[in-house]
Amino acid sequence: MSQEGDQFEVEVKVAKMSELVKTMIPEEADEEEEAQEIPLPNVKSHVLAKVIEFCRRYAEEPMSEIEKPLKSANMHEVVQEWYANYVDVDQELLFELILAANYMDIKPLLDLTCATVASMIKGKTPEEIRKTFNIVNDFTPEEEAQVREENKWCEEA
Amino acid sequence: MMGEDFTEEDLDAGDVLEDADDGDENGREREDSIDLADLKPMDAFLMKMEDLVTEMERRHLHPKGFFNDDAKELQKYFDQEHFKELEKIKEERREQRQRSRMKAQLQKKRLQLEKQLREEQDAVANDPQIEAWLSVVRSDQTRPSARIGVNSVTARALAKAMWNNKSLTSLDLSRNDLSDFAGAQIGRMLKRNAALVKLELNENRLGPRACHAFGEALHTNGTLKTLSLESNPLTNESTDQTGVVALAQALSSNASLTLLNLWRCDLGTTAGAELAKALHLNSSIINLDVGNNGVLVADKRRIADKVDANKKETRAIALQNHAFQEQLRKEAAGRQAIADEEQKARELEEWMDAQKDLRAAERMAEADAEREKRREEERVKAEAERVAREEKKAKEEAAKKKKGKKGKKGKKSSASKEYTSAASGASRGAQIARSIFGRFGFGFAPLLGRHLDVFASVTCGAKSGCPAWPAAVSAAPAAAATAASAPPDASSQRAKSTLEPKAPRPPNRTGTRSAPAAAAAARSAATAASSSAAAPSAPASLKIRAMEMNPATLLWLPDDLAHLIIEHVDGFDLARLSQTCGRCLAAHADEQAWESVVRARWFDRRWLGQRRGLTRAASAVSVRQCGAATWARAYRELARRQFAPRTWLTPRHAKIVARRRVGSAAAWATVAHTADCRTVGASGQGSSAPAIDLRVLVQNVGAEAVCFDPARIAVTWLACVDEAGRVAPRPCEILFAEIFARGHERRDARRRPGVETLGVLTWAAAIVRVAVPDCYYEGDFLERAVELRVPFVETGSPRHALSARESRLLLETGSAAPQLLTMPFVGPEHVHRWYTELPGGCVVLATGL
Repeated sequence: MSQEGDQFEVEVKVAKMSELVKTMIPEEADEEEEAQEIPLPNVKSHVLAKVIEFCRRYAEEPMSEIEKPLKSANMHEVVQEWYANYVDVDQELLFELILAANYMDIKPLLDLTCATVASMIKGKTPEEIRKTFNIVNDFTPEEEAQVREENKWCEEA
Repeated sequence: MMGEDFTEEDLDAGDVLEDADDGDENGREREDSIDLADLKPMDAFLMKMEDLVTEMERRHLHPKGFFNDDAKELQKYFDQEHFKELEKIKEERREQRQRSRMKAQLQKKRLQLEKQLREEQDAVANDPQIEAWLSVVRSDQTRPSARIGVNSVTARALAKAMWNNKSLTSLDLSRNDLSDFAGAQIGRMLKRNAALVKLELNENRLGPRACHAFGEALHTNGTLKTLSLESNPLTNESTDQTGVVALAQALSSNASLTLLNLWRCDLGTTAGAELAKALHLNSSIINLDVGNNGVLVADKRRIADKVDANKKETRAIALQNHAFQEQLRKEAAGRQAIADEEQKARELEEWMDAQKDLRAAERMAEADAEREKRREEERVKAEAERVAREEKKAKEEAAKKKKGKKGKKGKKSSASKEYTSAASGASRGAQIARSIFGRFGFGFAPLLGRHLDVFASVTCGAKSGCPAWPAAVSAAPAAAATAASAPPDASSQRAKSTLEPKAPRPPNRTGTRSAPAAAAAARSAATAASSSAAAPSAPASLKIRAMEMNPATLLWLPDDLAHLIIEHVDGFDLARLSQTCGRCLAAHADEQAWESVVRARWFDRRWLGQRRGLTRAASAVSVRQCGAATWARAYRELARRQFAPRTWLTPRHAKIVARRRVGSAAAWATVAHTADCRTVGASGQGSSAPAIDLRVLVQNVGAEAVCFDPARIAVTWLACVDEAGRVAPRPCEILFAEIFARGHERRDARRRPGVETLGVLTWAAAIVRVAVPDCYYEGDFLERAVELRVPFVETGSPRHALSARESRLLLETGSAAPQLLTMPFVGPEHVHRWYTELPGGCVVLATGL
């Protein structure tokens, strides 16, 4: 059950990918037992639907492990096609997915979403990063010059 | 004012006065000559001999002794002296005459001026209307435009009154039968007046004098835009064209006059030509009427052409001005909008500050109430204890009496004590919860659960924790609700988001809490929320507007999640991220993040392989062992080792066009830039086909010697479309490839062919000249270049004791399998950033230094 009160039915195996849900399901509960309700008051319906979509897919075809650091800014080169398309969503949903994955403790989803954000940072200039994440530059000019001087080395390579 | 003071200008102004001709000059001259004829030179022949001699001696002459000769001689001198004398006298008389004449003239002028003034005063006195006009003109109280009926005399008075006037901008004196002199006076007025924009003098009797005056005034006047002299006999029946010529010449230096009406002014051909000539230098006049004047057709055409040109120009300038004004207006509007926004933001901030103060005051009051309550409780407790003590005493006394029963009440009282301490713990927890929620607002809402968790265990302690915790949680939303009520004016801008009380997340970092406990906490939080919703003190709805911004952005992620993201980026990206804003620098690019980045790149198990000792050693690597004080610097130091060795071959501005490391060999390629970034053939350095020099720097970064053959270096590029219509990479033609520098040797004139063997950490640079047909600039080639291949062999021995022959054998026969260092060239998007095209088609390297 999500924040708004919508209900989603999932198989136990899929639901158990979330460590949080796993702890809320009693140990003795088996597959054949009747459906039980798990309240997830922090997760919105559309996010939860997206999370369940991921879990179902992951149960069928596990995601390849993500290299650290990322070798490419293009998620299609990092993970399988389906997962790359899965995280091709707007930023708001992406961050909500991260929070939900963290809250529900789903490690692969957390990895995937964090890697996506990282891929949005990768290979961009500070100005481009600011634009991407809508960050306001709050440095004074002196501070900015100092920070730039400190990080000059990374432009040389 | 002009009644009292005569200025010099008045007296100089001969042209204005109706002076008579300068009469009897010749008669007086004649009189003088008659007068002078009476003066005769001395006659030497009538003198005595002695006188003659003394006279001659006075003139330093030697008398000869013969009277006749001497007298003749002397007479010559006498004549000369007489002549000089006469001249002197004549001169004196002339000067005297001049003076008296000037005096007479001045006198005459003064008289005339006085007469004029008197005339004017009389005329003005006789005409109450003009008197009224003059008074308002003098006191600057006229309307901007006026038509005044005057005659030639009062026009003079009016012109003088206009000298310092600033209110009248348009004056119409048409059809007043004004004389030439009055016109001249008006013209002179324009020299001083700086307000008049439009002046109409149609159908008067203005002539050359007025024209002269206007011409003179227009040289200096910069305000008059319209001057209409229609139907005035400006040339005095074509007898005097000088006035009009002066007027025409003034046009060449005036830049304000836009309209000049000379319709039916008897201009004639000379003035017309002069006008056409003067107009050539004028760019302000857009309307010039010379009709009905007998001006030549050619001149008319010239005038019309020039006026048209001026018109166009003026219109263009006006358009430009308009656009400029528009832009200024827009900018001002933009500034205003920004200022408004700032003002709004400031108001918001003030409001927030006020709210903060309010909250602080509330908290203080609550704390006071709490203290009061506690004191009351203590008092009650003390009372209860006292009662209990008394009871006990009474009982003891009773027991003393009975000696059988012992007091069980003591135990009971200690139990109640425990209960009250638990209750006070709960209330303290609630207080702290309120203070924490109040301080952070809801920007940190995601962090809340953890905080609650932590302080619950801190404040309540192990003993009384259970009863205190739900109370604290139930108090939290109430406090948060008061903290986060948004200001009314900004509520529309803010996204409303509902915020349920956050249940504690399973802490990732510490991992001390067990997951069932987290679930239990979540449930308790939910129940607490429902209970507080029911309570009258809490708001009916728990929907709370998000205070700062959407919590789900990069900036407001919890730290542990941010670190998860940062683990995926490398140090370069982290460095750039830290440059974006102060919060990124402080929160995301901290030491923990840098450490994770360093470890992920250099000390990760995946790179180090499965050797156990190695991984254990790597996990224990400290920041000092990386050669730096902070992890950020450690990254920098470690990364620097993988840059190309900084030498004269790789100056800072040289761009690395390809780089790769395979096994023990690392290679970097740069372009040997020419001055104008053209290919070698194109820049005229050789008559050959265009070619480009690549410098390939190969360094041995492994533990064993490496050898490579520069002649085997290959380059591929997208040269042309093949039969199938695809652009496939093709090998370039290598013109030559030689080693030209080794280690840190300075430039070596002798180029070495053949195989090069590199010892540990030494490097060699090869120059590879690549033929690049139809490439004009370096960029043309770099855009299409695909990859550069350097075959090399790891010899297996750490020293480079191999001879050239041996290493060649090794490379060719390959006891060790030759490896291929395939270096992809950078993409065209980088290449475009390197070069800057200057105007004129010149291309330079953007060094960024």
